[in-house]
Amino acid sequence: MTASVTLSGLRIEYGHHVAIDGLDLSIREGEFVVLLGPSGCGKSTLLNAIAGLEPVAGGRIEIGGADMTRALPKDRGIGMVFQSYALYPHMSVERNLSFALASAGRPKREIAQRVADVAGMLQLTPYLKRKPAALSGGQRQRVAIGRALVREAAVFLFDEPLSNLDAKLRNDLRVEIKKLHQRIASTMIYVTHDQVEAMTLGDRIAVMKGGEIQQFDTPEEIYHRPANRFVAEFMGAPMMNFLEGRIEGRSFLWQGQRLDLSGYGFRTAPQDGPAVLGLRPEHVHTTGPADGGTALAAQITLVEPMGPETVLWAETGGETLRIRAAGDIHAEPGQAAALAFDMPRAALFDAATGERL
Amino acid sequence: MTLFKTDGARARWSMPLLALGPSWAIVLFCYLGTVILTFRISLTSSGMIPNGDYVGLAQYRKLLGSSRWETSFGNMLTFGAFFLAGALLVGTALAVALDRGVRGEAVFRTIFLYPQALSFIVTGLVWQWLMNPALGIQAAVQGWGWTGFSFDWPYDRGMAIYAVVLAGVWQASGVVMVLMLAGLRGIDRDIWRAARVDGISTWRTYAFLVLPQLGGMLATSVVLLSVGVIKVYDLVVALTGGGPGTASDVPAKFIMDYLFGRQNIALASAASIALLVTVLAVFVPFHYAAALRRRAREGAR
Ligand SMILES: Nc1ncnc2c1ncn2[C@@H]1O[C@H](COP(=O)(O)OP(=O)(O)OP(=O)(O)O)[C@@H](O)[C@H]1O
Ligand SMILES: [Mg+2]
Repeated sequence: MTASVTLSGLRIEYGHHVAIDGLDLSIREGEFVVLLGPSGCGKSTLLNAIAGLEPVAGGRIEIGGADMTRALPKDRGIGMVFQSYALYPHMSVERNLSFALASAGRPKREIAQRVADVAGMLQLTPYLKRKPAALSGGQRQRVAIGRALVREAAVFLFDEPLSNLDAKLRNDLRVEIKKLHQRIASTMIYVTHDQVEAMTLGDRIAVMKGGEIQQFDTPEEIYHRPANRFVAEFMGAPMMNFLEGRIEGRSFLWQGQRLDLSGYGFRTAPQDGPAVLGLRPEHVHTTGPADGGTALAAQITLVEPMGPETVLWAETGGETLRIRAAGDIHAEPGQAAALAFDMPRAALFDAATGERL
Repeated sequence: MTLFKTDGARARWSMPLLALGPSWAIVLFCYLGTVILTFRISLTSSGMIPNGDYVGLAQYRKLLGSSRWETSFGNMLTFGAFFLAGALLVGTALAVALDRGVRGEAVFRTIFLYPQALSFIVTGLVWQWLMNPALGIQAAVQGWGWTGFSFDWPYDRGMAIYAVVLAGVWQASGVVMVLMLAGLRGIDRDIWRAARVDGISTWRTYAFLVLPQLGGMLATSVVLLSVGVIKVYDLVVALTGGGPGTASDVPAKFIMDYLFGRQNIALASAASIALLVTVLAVFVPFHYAAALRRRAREGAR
């Protein structure tokens, strides 16, 4: 089962505080959408509104084409997984999975069948008789996912389901969730503030800030063509480099250098004036320009070997740049480097508004 | 100072012993000592003052043959059952009502907890007035025109002990409420959300998901209330004086009467021992089962 989710003009208030004001979001059937943003940006609020757990002050929520703005949570065809798992601690795994169905008065055979299916899918069969306290964190979260699955919802909502797990388990469960989505093909809306989860899981990512969606697009677009400076800063580690300079004609003037913009895809015809050039660390090369352009003299100040790659910090003209280099590079602090920028893949932002140019 | 040797096992034991010693001494001599003394007196024919005239189990035979003891003991069981059930039910219901988000919760909490601050004597007197046919509720309701109305439990042989139950529940519900409310507030908010998404009704959520998690609070409440059941004395004295006749007598009052009023300390001692044995007979198996269960749970990890 699967359904589209459409939010239009959504407004949510906490007393006098407006958490979300006029938000539009359109999610296709079977899509995996990640809501990503810093703490307090309204991700949980939005998810709870879709679930019907948070009253809506204005706007409209449609699930599967039907107006659900005022519908009860149970009537929305959703399943939800919580950050704290929210398992019923005094019940066995089996009871946890079956309780909602039993409360709804479903026939015993159907319940048993569905619990067995879900337990098999999530490898929970050996633990059915155990209480949640006797499970590991990963197993508990799988029970929580299972409890949402047995209800055969069309839309699944996840609120930071992996944030209580250690790094290794988080990776494992992330892969499991992705496989699960490929298998059941239901719509999934997933809240996280972990960009790796967002990039790996999402068909599309909605980057949020202060209750507004900054950009809603595929992971590739978000990473390579960020819509504004906030998105560019938020996505990617190490962070993008930002150089403040001026646009003049087909060039970007910075520290006396004239950087060529002829390969850059402007959204609108560029106007001369102050601007910010964003460069991902992997788009700064230490090997000098390949096509005979000008090289930038810099000095390496810090070397961070990470295994598959090495992060270099280099100083040029009073600015410190982050550079992603090969893992086997030999570099020492104090060493001189000749830098070159991959200008066609850079991002230019308006100096005042931060919007992409 | 060999006592403060700092090496080896002795040092590990000497400090705790030194620290716990006095309290153990108090427990041993004062508590156990008086129990033994009481037991010894119960084997004598002592009257107003203890004597050394041992008569074996004669006092116990007399006690078990006494209809007043039988009434007292039965009353304690009745009171215990209804008081526990009543206080737990009313207290939990009040806690749930407050948890549902009543306006002015703090005010209600104080009002419901207030009786607890009163001594049993005051509670007893208040309810004695309320249930006094000439002054209390009965008089008021009859005054409004329902002349057939009667509410005079303390003066009714069959109902007197329930009058004590009523006053006891009124006094004790507040504590249960506070304990249960604390427990309810400790429940993960996501449990409630999960239940709403699952479409489980509010009352089913309380009955099957929330209240079963409050076992600890329930156990604490039961222990607190049970102590009250064993000790119930002042409430009876203030409310019914054990009457009419001995209809609402309880063991504690029986003991006090024989100890000071009727100057038969041997029989009073026998009754005390009987009461102690009863408490142990309930408490020891309960405690043992709990310890076994705890060990089983730790073993399973
Ligand atoms: N119950 C509430 N009462 C008042 N304000 C609230 C309430 N819940 C959330 N808010 C406010 O609404 C805004 C959005 O909160 P929300 O919980 O949705 O953030 P979030 O993006 O989920 O953050 P996090 O990553 O920390 O979970 C915040 O400014 C928060 O302070
Ligand atoms: Mg949140």
